[in-house]
Amino acid sequence: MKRGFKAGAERIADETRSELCLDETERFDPLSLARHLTIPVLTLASLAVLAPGNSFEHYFSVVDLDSFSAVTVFRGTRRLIVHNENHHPNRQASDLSHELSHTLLEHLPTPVAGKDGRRYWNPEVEEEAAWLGAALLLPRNGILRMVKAGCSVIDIAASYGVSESLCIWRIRQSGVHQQAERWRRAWRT
Amino acid sequence: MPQKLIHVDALIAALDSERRAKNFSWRQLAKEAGVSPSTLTRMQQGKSPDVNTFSALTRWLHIPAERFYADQPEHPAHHEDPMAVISSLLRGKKKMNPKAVAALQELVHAAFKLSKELK
Repeated sequence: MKRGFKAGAERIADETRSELCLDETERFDPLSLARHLTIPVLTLASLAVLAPGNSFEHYFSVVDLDSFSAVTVFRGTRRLIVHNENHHPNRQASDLSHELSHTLLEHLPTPVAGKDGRRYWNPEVEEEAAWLGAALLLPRNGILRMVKAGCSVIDIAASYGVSESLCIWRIRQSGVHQQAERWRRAWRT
Repeated sequence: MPQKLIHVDALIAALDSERRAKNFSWRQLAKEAGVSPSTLTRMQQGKSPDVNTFSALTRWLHIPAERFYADQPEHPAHHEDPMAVISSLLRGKKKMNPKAVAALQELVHAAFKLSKELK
């Protein structure tokens, strides 16, 4: 990740949450951000209804449920998001937060696959979107407050509507765990 | 006085050109011009800015506001689909089998086709 990216992403997350009038305790709804940015969001089923005769819905809903989470499709500067509504609501929130993070980070789109038939994969861009996506869902100050208050990962994840694995990752990666530990030690002495 | 119609795409193109010349991100441009980054995203989605935002952006560009007024909603200078390839940003498995890639391409084409109709 680029130097300074993490601090910059935390700022973008805080600014974006503020624009949506969310305080650090409130749950982030990616669909409300999409509405705020006027980016249409479609499910596989709703796209399939509008594009009859396709097989993608059956494929990603029944045959291979795990391969596709969400995609932002561009027409010039205009964007449209399609996501897999068959996943758990927590995963859908994470998928949509990730996709919207691509927009907030101004990531440039690529073709779906190369001439060799393999999908394009840019690890740096994906890592950045993953970081910001998690920061939007789990605001640093909010989870720090909960960790200091002795809340469990289960409590924090339930409060913000995310999976426990994402919550653990965010607590570790954001340094909240260490900060809360230092705070506890200071209180003991 | 009735509000003037604005060529949003022409304004976005001018802003894009100027920010590239200055090596700015859209976020930096928003800060410099005194508007919110979200407003610029909404304009990229084709939404017209409010009067204050329009004024701030044309001031930042040093271009008279009249240049972006339109008598017709569809401006002939607006080039549809400037991207030769259908492009996207995807969240899914890092490695996909050929069937999944084919289904994904079908999905993206359907969404791309639909995006033309969305305002």
